[in-house]
Amino acid sequence: MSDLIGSSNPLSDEQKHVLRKIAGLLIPPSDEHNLPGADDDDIFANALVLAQSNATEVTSSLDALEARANEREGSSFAGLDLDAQTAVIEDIFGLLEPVVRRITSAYYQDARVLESINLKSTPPFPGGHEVEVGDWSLLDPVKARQPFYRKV
Amino acid sequence: MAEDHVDVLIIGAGASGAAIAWSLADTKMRIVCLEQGDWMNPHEYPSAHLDWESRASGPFSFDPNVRGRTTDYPVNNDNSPISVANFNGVGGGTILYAGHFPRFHPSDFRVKTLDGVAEDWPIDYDTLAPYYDENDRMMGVSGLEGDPAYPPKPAVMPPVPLGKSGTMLANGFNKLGWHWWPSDSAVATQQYDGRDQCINLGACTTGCAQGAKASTDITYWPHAMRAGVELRTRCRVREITVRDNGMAGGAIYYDADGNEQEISAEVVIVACNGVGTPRLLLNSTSTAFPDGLANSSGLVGKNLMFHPYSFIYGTFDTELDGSRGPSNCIWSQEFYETDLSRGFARGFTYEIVRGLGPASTAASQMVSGQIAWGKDHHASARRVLNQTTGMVGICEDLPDERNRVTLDPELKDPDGIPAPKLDYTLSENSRKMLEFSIARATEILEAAGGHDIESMGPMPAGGWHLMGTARMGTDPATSVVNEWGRCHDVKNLFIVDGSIFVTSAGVNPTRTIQALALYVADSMKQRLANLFD
Ligand SMILES: Cc1cc2nc3c(=O)[nH]c(=O)nc-3n(C[C@H](O)[C@H](O)[C@H](O)COP(=O)(O)OP(=O)(O)OC[C@H]3O[C@@H](n4cnc5c(N)ncnc54)[C@H](O)[C@@H]3O)c2cc1C
Ligand code: SF4
Repeated sequence: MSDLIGSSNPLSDEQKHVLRKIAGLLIPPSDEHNLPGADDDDIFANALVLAQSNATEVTSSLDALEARANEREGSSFAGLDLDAQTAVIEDIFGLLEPVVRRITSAYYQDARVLESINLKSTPPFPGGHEVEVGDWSLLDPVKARQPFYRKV
Repeated sequence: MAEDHVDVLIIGAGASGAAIAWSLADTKMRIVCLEQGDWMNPHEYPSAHLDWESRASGPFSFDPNVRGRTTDYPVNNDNSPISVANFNGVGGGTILYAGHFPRFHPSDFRVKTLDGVAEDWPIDYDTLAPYYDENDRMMGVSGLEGDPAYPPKPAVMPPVPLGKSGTMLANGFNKLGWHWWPSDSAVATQQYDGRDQCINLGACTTGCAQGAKASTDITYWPHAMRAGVELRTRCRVREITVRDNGMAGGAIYYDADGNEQEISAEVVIVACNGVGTPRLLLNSTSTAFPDGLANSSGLVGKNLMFHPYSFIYGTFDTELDGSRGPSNCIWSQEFYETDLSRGFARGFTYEIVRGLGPASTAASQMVSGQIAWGKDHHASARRVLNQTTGMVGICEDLPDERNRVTLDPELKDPDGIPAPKLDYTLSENSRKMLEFSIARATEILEAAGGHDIESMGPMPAGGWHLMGTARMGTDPATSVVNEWGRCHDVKNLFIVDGSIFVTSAGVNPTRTIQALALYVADSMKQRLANLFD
């Protein structure tokens, strides 16, 4: 996967570093579910791929984050401790939407994560899914209705 | 070089182009279809890949401006709250459509007479009924007979499964005593006509890798081609040419290498959809038709109708289908027919959306705050993922001449052809209908046990139904084509896509688009000796 982080990625190394920090804060690892955080190598590599499309959305979000960190704490985001970083994200969460969407999408398309939420860890095709046919007797009250389309 | 001359030239290989090609094939005329896009390779569909949700928002996005394939044309949606969704390739929009396959109702053809709005159609339900039946057989429609919201109609295959999501919401409808019924679906629930049956991939709107969904590349086209129709891909038509006598002469198009080519034809049929067709006609100017071909009424491009969509969903305390299973499930037409006490004319259909994929659900619910970030994330996500379901409300849009497609003065496709520009305003009637649909859907979700209900309307990305821009009628002053699809101004030029709709009804349009295409084909066949009189 790491070969996907090409030099063509429009994010600077510093921005990638900040993005990875945000990923780990948004979705931390879980011991209970034996899951990595969103800053996991493979997951983050995919988040970076997603960040390449419409990248200016992502960089503007990161710029807003840096500005807020400076305004609030007088430091770059990377220079803050964990609590302060969390507080800055909390503060401008709405402006981070493009970042949140990409990180979350990368996370919830990882085989380990899908398996942990009872979904197939392989592509939908082939194999597909089981979906219950259901109980069509639920339709009985509707079947009892007279036709109600307008006759013309 | 010998002249490239055919009897019938069809432009566009989507839902309607495929249907009319197949129907006309038995005339043994030489028929060629030009399509700007490619044949699809099902193995490239997102559902054959683990990151299917990301692929669905990139190369398989239904927004041509996002997808940006060289086979696409851009659309200027800046002046519209709803943007165009389509697909350009063999199969057209059916490659990405959900396959919801409702018919119009008898009342949909008589809106002026019944409700005093818009215009009546020059044809009625009974005229189209045999063509609906024929199209159902060709596409392979699953459903259940006996829906009290409709006149009797056949079901070719058993309905798609109810599933956990459908069961949950069916209970909600039943508590309120409101109508619901298994959705008629262009999805094979059994092996059908060489197609495999649905295996619940749940990615119908990104292309069906299983081949169960009836896209016309695997339904009509193989039959049409076996019967002798020639389909040329990567042929983008710039303009329809006009002969000295004012008849359509054929078309000028760009081939795969961008070279200009010309083809001549005795009959030209346009099937480029409600935006692509007016774009092509408006770009086909000549001394005889300075304002665009077949546009003496000035109505080409006008009366653009979408269906404004509402989207209402809630979270439940139990596992539901999530993205597993066809997009189609059940529908409700409780609020379909006009009841002016609701504050608007006409009505809408609810279609149940089983659930979305985990990545899109997690992303949108993180943003909305329903799923927590940080240390509570995992517990919170597990209360939402695979536990949301809801519905869309498909609202009838009434025609309004101010809603229109024109040519953008600057934006162009890769071959330099002007792109379409939309001007569209949501009407007061639509706004009220959207509000009503959200309020009633909230009641349904609550009755079914849902909570944290969220909604939007109109869906900004939901311009997937494109209608009305070259409408049908008997009066050349107020319509573009006559009651069997022939342009009033050009007697060998036909239009068969959603452009010819007079009104939009409150249902998805493709079954009606295709029934109309088959009806136009039959009308032509019956008049072959004097088609141009
Ligand atoms: C995501 C999505 C979901 C949908 N879901 C549903 C649903 O559930 N039910 C339903 O009824 N409908 C649905 N639709 C709409 C449905 O796809 C359309 O109604 C239907 O495809 C329209 O048929 P058509 O023949 O008018 O045009 P299209 O199918 O759009 O075909 C037009 C064809 O013409 C070609 N073309 C255009 N211009 C040119 C040119 N200049 N030269 C050469 N070729 C050209 C295009 O490439 C295209 O292939 C959906 C659409 C989308 C995008
Ligand atoms: S759910 Fe059925 S129709 Fe839809 S993509 Fe999967 S197999 Fe095809």
